[in-house]
Amino acid sequence: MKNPNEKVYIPISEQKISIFAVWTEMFDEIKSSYELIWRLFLRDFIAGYKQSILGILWVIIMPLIMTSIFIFLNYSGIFNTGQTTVPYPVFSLLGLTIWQLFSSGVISCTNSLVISGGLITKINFPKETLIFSSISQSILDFIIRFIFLGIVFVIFRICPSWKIIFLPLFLIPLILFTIGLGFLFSLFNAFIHDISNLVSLFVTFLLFMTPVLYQQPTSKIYNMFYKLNIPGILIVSTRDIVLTGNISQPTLFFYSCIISILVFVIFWTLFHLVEPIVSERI
Amino acid sequence: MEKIIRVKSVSKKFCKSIRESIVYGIHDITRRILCLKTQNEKLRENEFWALQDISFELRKDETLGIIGPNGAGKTTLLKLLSGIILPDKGRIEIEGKVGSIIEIGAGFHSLLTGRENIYINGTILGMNKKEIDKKFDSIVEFADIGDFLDIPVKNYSSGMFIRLGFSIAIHCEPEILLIDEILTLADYDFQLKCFKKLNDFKKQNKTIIFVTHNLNYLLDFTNRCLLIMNGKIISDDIPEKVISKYKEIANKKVL
Repeated sequence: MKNPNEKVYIPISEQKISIFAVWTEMFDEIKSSYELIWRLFLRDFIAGYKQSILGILWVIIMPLIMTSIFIFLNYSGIFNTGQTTVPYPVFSLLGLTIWQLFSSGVISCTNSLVISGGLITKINFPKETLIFSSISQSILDFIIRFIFLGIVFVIFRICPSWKIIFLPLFLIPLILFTIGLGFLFSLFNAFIHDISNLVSLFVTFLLFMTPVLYQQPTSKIYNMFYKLNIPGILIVSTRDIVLTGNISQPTLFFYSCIISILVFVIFWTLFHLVEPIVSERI
Repeated sequence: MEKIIRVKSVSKKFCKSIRESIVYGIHDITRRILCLKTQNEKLRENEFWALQDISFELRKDETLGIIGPNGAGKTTLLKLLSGIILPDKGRIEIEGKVGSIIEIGAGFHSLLTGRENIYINGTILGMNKKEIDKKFDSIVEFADIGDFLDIPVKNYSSGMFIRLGFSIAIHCEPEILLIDEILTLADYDFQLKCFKKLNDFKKQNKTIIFVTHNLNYLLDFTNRCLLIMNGKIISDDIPEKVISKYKEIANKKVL
């Protein structure tokens, strides 16, 4: 006579880890909490722009300013962005749009647990929802930027490849990689708040190591770093799909996809297993 | 009658220092990943037992009051029962949907209106949109905050906050309701209203666990009482006896 509503709470160290049981649990939890993810997403979206004048415009102001700075740097000879196949504003805005899906996603996921600390210590709910609602926010920002990008394409009379319709498919590995890192960093950040600053630094460093604001150099050292830059490879490949329809380095893209899936699965599982230890110390 | 809550020698420890709490946390996580047993039985440096060897069982028709001095572990017990934190020792079994009001307005977003917050808070507490739609009018009516419904909650008085938060929480229709000391800030007529509602709960044979410092509430409202001091159950009896014991101890200490 088992009551389906019966809950048993035992010390975390006495819980057995059986990987398939854990995965089923994770899956069930997400399945039953999509509505909560949606609400949290809606909350952050509505509240985020409530006390601001420019509101949602901020989403496109950031990449515009960044591009303007680099156009100036290039024009004044401080920094050479290299010869790009499409006009530079199209090149960099497209790159930045995809880049920011990654960067803002990682940063907002990292902070999500700490920001909701008050909630976590007062109400019992699946903490994964915080990560998924954070990434939804970044995906929405991406969509807004992408629509704006359409206008830029028209202004410069650039026609994207027809393969652009497969874009959502090519974004999946990048999104999985972002969520994976988000799971990991959010756990660390809940412990030690320095992580949030470190992640911002790391993301800025990565931006300069990724050929989104400049044409990819051909030097050996650069290529060595580039091969380790998983988000960079995913972003460049996605940009290739939009501009030419052909991925310039398909093998690199392929192995980055595999790593992304692994990162996502491993860090989500880790998050699920140790989150109770972290939550009570937030 | 069958027991609906079974708490078996549960202990919970906390760490006094943030630095050590981080170190122990990382230590515990590593052991967890490597599937090694953690030494939960012993206290490490700067740790203390917030609750120690707590055992009790509760029938469905019981209303349990919890009293004890500040820092005795009352809220920790409620958090354990609602699954917000896990025990370090022992075992808790609960049958039925648990609704807990540990802190009013946890999850309220200060920039959003009362109306928006009803949907968010309701969802966090486990309702879906359909249920909230259905109960919306009833939630608003119970909270009775008038025009403030469409005003950001940061402009609410603390009483209004409690009205709205409490109203949402009790509309989740839990089978077991855990309430921390929260009603003291509400005005007299809202307190009356709440107790009327809680009495309805009792009539529907729902279980209520109730933390309060108002001894009159315990006498009127509960049929069993726990006195917790320094993380241990000192007394588990009918309210009259527990209250007199509590008064006796307090008097000895103060006078």
